[in-house]
Amino acid sequence: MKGSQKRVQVFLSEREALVAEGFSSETGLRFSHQYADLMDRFIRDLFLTAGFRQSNRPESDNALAVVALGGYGRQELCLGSDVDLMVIHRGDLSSEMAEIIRHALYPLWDAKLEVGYSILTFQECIRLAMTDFRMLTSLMDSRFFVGSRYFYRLYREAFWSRMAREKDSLLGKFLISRRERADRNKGEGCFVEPDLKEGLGGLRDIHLMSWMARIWFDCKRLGQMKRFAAFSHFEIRKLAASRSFLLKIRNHLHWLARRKEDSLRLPYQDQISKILGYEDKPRISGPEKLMRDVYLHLNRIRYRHEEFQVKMLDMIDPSPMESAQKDLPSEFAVLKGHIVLGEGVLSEMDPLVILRGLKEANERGLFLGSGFIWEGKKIISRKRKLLSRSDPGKALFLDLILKPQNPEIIRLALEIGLIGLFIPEFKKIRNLPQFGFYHVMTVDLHSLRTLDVINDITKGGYDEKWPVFKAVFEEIEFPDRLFLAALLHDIGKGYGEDHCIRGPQMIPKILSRLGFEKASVRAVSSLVRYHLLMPRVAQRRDLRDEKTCVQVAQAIQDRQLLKMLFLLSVADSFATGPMARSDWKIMLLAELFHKVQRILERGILATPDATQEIERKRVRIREMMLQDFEKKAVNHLIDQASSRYILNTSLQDMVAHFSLALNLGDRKHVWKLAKRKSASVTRIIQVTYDKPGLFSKMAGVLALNNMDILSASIFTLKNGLAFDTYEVTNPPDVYHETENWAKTQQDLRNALDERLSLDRLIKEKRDAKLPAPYGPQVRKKIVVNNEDSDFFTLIEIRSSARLGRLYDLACVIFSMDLDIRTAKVNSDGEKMTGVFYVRDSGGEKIYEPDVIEEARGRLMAVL
Amino acid sequence: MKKIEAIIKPFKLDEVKDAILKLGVSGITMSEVKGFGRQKGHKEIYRGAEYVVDFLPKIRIEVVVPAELAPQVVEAIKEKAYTGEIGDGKIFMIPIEKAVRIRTGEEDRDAI
Repeated sequence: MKGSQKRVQVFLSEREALVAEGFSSETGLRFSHQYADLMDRFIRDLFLTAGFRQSNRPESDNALAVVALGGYGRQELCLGSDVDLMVIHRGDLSSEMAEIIRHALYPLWDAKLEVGYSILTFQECIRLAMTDFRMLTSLMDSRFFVGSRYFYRLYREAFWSRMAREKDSLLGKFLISRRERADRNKGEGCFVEPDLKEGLGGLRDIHLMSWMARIWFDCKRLGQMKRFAAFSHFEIRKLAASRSFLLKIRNHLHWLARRKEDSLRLPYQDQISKILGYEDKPRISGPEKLMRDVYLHLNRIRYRHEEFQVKMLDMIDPSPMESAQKDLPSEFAVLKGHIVLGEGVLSEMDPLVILRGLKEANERGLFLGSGFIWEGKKIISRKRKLLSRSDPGKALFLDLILKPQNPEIIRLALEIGLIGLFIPEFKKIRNLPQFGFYHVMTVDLHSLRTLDVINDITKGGYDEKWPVFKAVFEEIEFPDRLFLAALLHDIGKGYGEDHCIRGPQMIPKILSRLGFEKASVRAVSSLVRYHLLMPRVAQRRDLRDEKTCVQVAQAIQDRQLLKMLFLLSVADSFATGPMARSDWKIMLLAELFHKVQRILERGILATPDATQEIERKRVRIREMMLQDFEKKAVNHLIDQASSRYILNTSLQDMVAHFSLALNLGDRKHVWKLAKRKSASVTRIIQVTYDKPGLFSKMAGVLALNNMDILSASIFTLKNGLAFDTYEVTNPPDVYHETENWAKTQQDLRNALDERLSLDRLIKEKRDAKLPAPYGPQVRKKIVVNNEDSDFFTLIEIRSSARLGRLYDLACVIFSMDLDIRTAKVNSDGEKMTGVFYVRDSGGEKIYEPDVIEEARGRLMAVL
Repeated sequence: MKKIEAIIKPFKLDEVKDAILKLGVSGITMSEVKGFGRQKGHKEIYRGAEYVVDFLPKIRIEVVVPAELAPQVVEAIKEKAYTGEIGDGKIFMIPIEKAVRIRTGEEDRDAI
């Protein structure tokens, strides 16, 4: 045992040395080879020490061979990879031999390697391969290790001749396995933190190509495929470089994680970019640069793999042309669902044929054949000017992006460089990652996705939940402008400045190059400039405040622009990621849209006289209340309500408040709960006696009961009653909502009576929380704003989210004798943004600079 | 070191197991158990005594991991065992004082 322990130590220190030497200087591929060699020496040594003797006597009954499998067999061994070994033998394994193998293998576990081993007979092995796909692929890469070489050769021959016989049935297995993997890896999370091995474009795609080349074309190396005419232009060398790059990153990943970790998670992106010398630049951070390279290589492998598969299928099964599609121009034909060039059509004669092909594929929902794609790439690199400067070329290109029926074809246009040809500015955002809380895709793909969402809207894809989208789209006079803005809204990213300013400056050049007239240029520029305005206002301002909507109306001015801006904001949110497209946010956007639209319809200056509006509502509520309540009580209560309450509250909410108040009796607190239909949000209409810090108590109690406040508005009556409306996330347990609300109300009543120590309970709850997963840092920010409201000072806050954060902030604001009247909060996972509308105890805005400074300082302290 | 013990729905075992293994945990113990929580089996009277019948079949998994890995394991189980229905199960985290690998005598971190 002692000897083997020493060997383990030697192996581990040699590995350290290899890492120290070769990590930075060697290519990923060579490093993996070197590590596999080291592993070979180590294991061979272990076998010999354990008493294993080489034998070449095939006739012996206990002939056996030890074989390396999978990645180890390919010598593509990464630092945390499985070390897969197999012992194949004939007849019964002698107990002596079993003992030797056991002794040889144990030290591998002691070296903390991920060991996989099996002891099988020749027949068992082949039988398993035919039933288990993983076993099959693992066996394809087997490599003789120690034992009888002759016996191994016999086994190989048997294995491959069986494979040759089963060729046809294997094809399906390969295609299914690839499809299953694609399904598993298409989620949004797989984009931000890609899996270098099993993800789309990962190393597995290259393995699949090699295996297929081996089975159907008898090519021991992928490079040998070049001898087939169809593959003569296949970019093997670039593929090898991408593979080597991914192996390098994977080795670093394994080394940092100290195990087999294939998902390139955010903390590792950070560390690896530093190790590999990707430095932070003003325009792009180190990790973003690293990821730009990673996406480049993953994309390359992914698309080469798809091309490979199509070509290969064509060769295996060259079936005849299918019956022509209706009205398909004669220059094209359809082969296995793909558009290809027809007989005798030469792309050299007419380069526009690639654009026409894409157009047909876009409209018919088909893809292009691999040969056609290759021709396309060739044309794009050789006939740049001829394509991009000709009017028919521009028209065909625009047809593609203004009617993006088939997202795969638009993505193809990006991959083969067509979008970059007509819009060179697009290259700047190609593969550009955006680290943050919201985005899950690189900027280029996000832009295409936005385009796709708009297209879905036109087809009624959101009608079930948001019929308003399509209705608004149908009122748009120039839909082209919306599509252009969708594609170009983030074009100003990557310059290290505000993309809403940089973007619109770039639009005139891009659009005039494509032949658009001034009006379109102006409209698209405005759309790009204001594309964040509506989401920002909707989420961070009180939409009941008329001034908010008037300001937006003044910025936008035009009803057509507003409609396009609304849909652009919606599409942008849907294309961004799950956090940006919550139902609540879309609901707020729609609310803002309707309000601004109303203002634009009747003219900004034509807002009705507030006094008349208040009087009208007073009369109305009196009428409605008198049906159920005494005249005296109703009149008394109406007199107590402030004009601001009446102006800013919907009639429906007023009825609820008044009914609750008139039924209050001796109780100190009553509420009515109403679930929103379009989002998982509950409205709390509440009547209670106002007391200092009411909002902070509410925030505390709701946090304690696992609900988040999304918005709040508090009005105090002259008699000291508070009429509040809160919108909060639904309780997490849908099966016990009633119990949950009952407990919350009990907690609230206790808190109002000072019988609940919120500070302590929240601290306990917070301390009990598991630490949050790694995410990008949130920059803390506090802005005090006196312009956006005529009656209140706005305190805007951005910070990381944590349990009870809102409670802490509300307590600070309360301790400064400031009164929160309206609040709007967004907690998106790790980030919280919020705005508080406050005034001082005298009901005035806060103007004194020293008070503002103090508030800022004290709030900062709890962030 | 922490022990994570989770009671989950049987059909979620594979997903949960794969997710835990992906985090670099080397071993898992699993047992078939029966029980109920808020989901409750129903009560029956048999010869005067009250029996709770319909204990529901569940899977209990146990893993021991270094403390810093524990939150990730909990998160992984939470994500994979989730259906949103009643009876998704529970996760417990328990401190471990000592671990020993019997074959080699290695202790604690080396032993798990």
